[in-house]
This record gives sequence, structure tokens and C-alpha cells, in this order.
Amino acid sequence: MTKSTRTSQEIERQTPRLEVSDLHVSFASRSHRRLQRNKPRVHAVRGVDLSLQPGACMGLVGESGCGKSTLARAVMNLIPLDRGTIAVDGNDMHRVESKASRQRIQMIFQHAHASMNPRMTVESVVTDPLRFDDRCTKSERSRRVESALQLAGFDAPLRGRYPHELSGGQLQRVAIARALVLEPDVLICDEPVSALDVSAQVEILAQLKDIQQTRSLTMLFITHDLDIAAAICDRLAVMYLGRIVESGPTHEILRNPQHPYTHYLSAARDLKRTSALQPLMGEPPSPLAPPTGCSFHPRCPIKSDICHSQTPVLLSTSQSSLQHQAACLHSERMDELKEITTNR
Amino acid sequence: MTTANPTNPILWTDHASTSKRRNWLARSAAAIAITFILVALLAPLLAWHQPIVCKYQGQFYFPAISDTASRLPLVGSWFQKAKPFRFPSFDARTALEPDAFALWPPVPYGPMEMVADANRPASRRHWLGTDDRGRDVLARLIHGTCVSVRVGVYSMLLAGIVGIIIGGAAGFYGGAIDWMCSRLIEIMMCFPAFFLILVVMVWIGNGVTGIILVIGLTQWTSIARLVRAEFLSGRELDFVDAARSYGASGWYIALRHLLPAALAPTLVALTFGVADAILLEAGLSWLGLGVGADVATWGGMLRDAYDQIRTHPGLMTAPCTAIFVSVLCCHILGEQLRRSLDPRIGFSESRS
Repeated sequence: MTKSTRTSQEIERQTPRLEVSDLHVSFASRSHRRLQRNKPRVHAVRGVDLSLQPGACMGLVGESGCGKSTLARAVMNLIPLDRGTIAVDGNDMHRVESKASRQRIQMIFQHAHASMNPRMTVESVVTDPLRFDDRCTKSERSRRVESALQLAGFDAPLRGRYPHELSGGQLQRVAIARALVLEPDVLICDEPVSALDVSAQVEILAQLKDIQQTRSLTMLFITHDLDIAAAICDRLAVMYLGRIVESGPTHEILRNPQHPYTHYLSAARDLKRTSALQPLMGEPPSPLAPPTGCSFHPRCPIKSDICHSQTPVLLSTSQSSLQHQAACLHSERMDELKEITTNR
Repeated sequence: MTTANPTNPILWTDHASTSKRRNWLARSAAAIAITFILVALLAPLLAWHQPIVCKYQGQFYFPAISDTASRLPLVGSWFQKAKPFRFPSFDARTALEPDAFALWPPVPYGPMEMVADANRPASRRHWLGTDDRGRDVLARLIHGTCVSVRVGVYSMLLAGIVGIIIGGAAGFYGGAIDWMCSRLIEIMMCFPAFFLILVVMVWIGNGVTGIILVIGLTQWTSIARLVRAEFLSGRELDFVDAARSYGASGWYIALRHLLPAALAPTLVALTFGVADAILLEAGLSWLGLGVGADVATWGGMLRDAYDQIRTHPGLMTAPCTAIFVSVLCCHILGEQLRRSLDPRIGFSESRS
């Protein structure tokens, strides 16, 4: 795949903190006949490239089932890859067997409650990772747990409670503390606030942003909500059916989307304010049999015959920034799309 | 928040107190079960052919206490060597002079001792009468408790260990190991366990250890299935993924995160299993394939009573009652345990 980001000289000097290249993940489908020789496979992630500089916060946006969480689990080494590499500071994570280098990436799970053992208190939930940190002695543990809980803004008197005794916001703070207690360089947040009410969302987002900046964490922030991504991330990657369809600086993507899908996503934000917009029609195609060519063509209003056969790659489209890339064969017709959606 | 709470983190919840009747039942069942265990542990202090304390040739001896101590599980062998408890080399019944100081147990007869005429009715000397060979029924009942409790507890401990290992391996690894373990469980379940045990008992001969081994090694299947199910569902949960992501080993996840959730249903199954084991042991002893005629057991007492069921039917009552009460106790306790461990039942009851 073309990587035009590499042409940008200032970036080329540094190795990225987290680099995902050509990642493919698929699952054997369980719903089909047992004796079938070649079981159909769900292609959850189909060739994703991501590159995060140290201290960057990238938002990964997309609708349900587009492979965001699968990507996160693949990066965390929780599911096997079909193809591709995940590298931290240039070291391939799936080849390195050392625990210490794996612990450099930590993850905050979507459902904080489900991600904690219901039989463990907050304190033991946060202490548990330290048992596997060879650098941390037993006597150091309580100090590090305390500082992690403090960093996550968790009320210290509640540390003896069980997860089911805590509110959603408090639980998410425990999840943050657990992810931070190993002092990782990369933090993956899989929809960390989607299960919270709005006031708690704001608090947790502010806390995360604060931690990210003070610790200069590299963060991959997965969400389906563009508003949340806009609030916290400096770069965005938009995912559709297992592929990145657009990536670039947040403000550029929001102001001037270069892919029809991104356009609809940001239009959906406006939909909250004005009801003049036409929503995106149709269902996302099945990842069991992804469409040929551009994955978005079955729902795209500006498609042409070429979209059926040719798979678009991420290319820099905007004149202002080389970093803003979109995988659309007709990104020059975006103005046409804007007219279609607003006039109808 | 829409998160599923897979297990109730608190072992003994207060749901039970909403139903006072069941609480009362469970408390009495627990009290009776504890009594049975105490009787089993302290049997020689309750019924024995040696006194608790006696003075023999100017020296104090504690024969019943030393016998009790040397029969304790785990530490018994230590007491056999320890000096102050050493067994006296005399038989108090014959050696002691009639006016010598001796404090006898409440039932001053051994379980195998022929102390009176056969088939005497209940009296002040023999509270439950004597059996066909003139042995004290109460003494035999007390010492039968030892065997039943030992068989029940140890065989279920063994079954629990085997079940947790096999079920845990099946659920945790999945794939080929799961397939093999599941087939093994199914094969074991297909055998009619009682006849398998019968055959093995004929082959290895009488003895408590044999019975414990045979019952333990055949009754683990239901526990293995429970543990397998818990591990299978547990390893899909997010907190297991979280543990893997910070570098926890498979063993650690299995023991620290998955096993505690599986222990609750296992404990319930084991409690019911104790009842089954007691019944199995009684059945084997009744058939004469159990512990052997030289040890008093409830099943053996039933066997002896059965021979003269037409002439002295009353002899059946004592062992029957003991078996009935102990099995009932285990079932009530197991049911109560199941209810207090099941969060769904707890909730529905506290609301109604």
C-alpha cells in the first residue's frame, strides 16, 4: 500500500511508537455447516496500516462491526493474526516473547465491569498486573497501586470495594488505573466511555486527556462517536468494513471529509442539530463476503463502475496537508455528494 | 450499565434470611452435620472399651483419649509416637481392680465387644439394646459414624480434586484436550457406577481406603462437567482477556480467575455427593462388600439386623435413622448452599 505519509520529512526522522502494518484478522464462521470443508471466514480486519508517533492520540472511528475492537484485540496479542505486523518502537510484538516489552501496550476495555473479576476488590484488581512486572518488588506494589489510582482520579477510601459496588465512572477509573499501573508507553482505549452517562463521559475523557498529556502516552482511542473523538484525538482514522478509509488530522477530517463514508459520519453529527440531512441508506455488507472493489460502493451515492472492480488505496487528496488521506476513487466528487445529501 | 454479572461475588449472601423457614432448616441441618462430624472424630470418647482416665498401679493413663488422638486425620500418626498418650499395655476391663479409679465413656462398650446377651431390648445399661451377637447397638452406631463420615468426606475430596483437574483442563484448553476429557467423562457416566464399584470391590477386597478410592474415582464426573462449563464460559470473559493482556500465565488465570467461580457450584455438587457416597458405602456394606465385618458400619448393622427382621425388627431403626438423617442433612445443606450461591434465585426471592 502506498504510504504517502512517509514523504513527509519531519515524520520520517522518528520511528513511530506504535506501528501496525498490513494487519489482517479473520475468524472461522461458526454458524455454518459443521462438515463443510472450507468454512467461510469473517474478515474482520483487512489490511490496516496505522502509525502513531510518541505522544500522539489517534482516534479510530467506525460503526459497530467494522473491526475496531478486533483491531484492538489483535494489537494486544489476544487473537492470532492472519498477516501483518505490530511494532512498538520498531520491535515486532508478535515475535518478541518477553513479557516486559508486551507490557508496554496496555488496554482499557469497553465494559469496565466485565473486564474485572467480580470476586476481586479494586485494590487487588489494580495490584494483579504488578505480579507480572519483574521490575516491581513486592514492597513497591502498594505504592504503585496508590499512584495509579490517584492518577486515574479514584477515591482512595473505595479501594476495598468490589466492582459491583461501584458506579460506572468509578469502575472506568479503576480500569484506567489498572492499565496505567504497569506504566505503559501505549494505551489502547476500546470505547472507554460508551457505557457511561454523559456527565461521567466528560469527566473520564478529561481525565484521559490529562493523563495522556502529562505522561506523554501514545494513545489509540477507539470510538463510534465522532464528537468524542474530536474532543480528545489529534488524528483520526475512519474504519469501514475492516479497512481504513480515511485518516488525517482531526480538524481537517471534520471540516473537509474526503471519503463519502466520513461525510455521512460527520453529517450524522449535524443531524443532531438540523434534520435537513439525508441519512446513509442500507446496512453495512457482511464481512463474510466483503464486496469487491471499494467496500463502500453498495451504499455510496457517487459510485461508478470502476468502484466495483478497483480497490482504492489511501492517498493524499487534500492540497493543504499530505497527512490527510482518503481511500476513495472519486474524492474529487465530494462537492457533488454534499449537494445530493443536503438537497434531498 | 448493561453488563452481565456472571457470578455472585459474595459466598454467603443474606437472601436466605428472607425465608425464615428455610433458614431454620438449614441451621438445624448444619448443626446435625457438625454433630455427625464431631461424633466421628471423638467416637472413642463416647463409646469405647477403655476408660477415658484411669489409675493403674499408681499411675494415670488416658487410653480413650490416646485412641481418639491417634485416629485423628493427618496428625494421628504423630500422637501414636508421642509419649504422654502412649497406649497402655493393659486391658482396663480385666486388669483394673473393681474399686480402682476409672472414668468411663458414656457408653462403656467397644463396637465389636460382646457385652451382653443377644437381642436385649433398650435398657439403662444398653440405651439402644444389643444386637444378635450381644454387641451394644449405640456403640456400633457411634463407630459407624466414623466410617460414613470418612467415606463421605474423603471420597468427595478425591472426586473434587479429580473432577476439578479433568474438568478444568477440558474447559481451559478446549480443542483436542476438551474432546478427550469429555469422552472420558461420558464413558464414566455410561457405566452403571454401583456395579462397577461392586466388581472393583470384589477384586480389591474389603477396606475403607478401597471404598474411598472406588467411590472417589467414579463419582467425579458431575463435578468435572460443572468445572468444565464454568471454565468454558469464564475464559471468554473480558477479565480473562485483561489478565492475558498484562502478561498473566495460563496457570495463573486458571487458578486465580477461573477456579474461584467454579468452586461455588462444585461445593454444592460435593455436598450432594457426600450423601450419595454415604448411601453407596451403606449399600456396599449391606452386601458384605464394604468395609468388612471387623469394623462397625451402618450398612453392616443393617445387614445383621436384616437377618432377624422377623424376630427383632427394631434393630433396623437405629442404622436406618442414622443413614436417613445424614443423607437428608447433606441434601438440605446442598440445597441451601445452591440457593445462596445462585444470584438469580436470591434476587427473585428477595423481591417476592
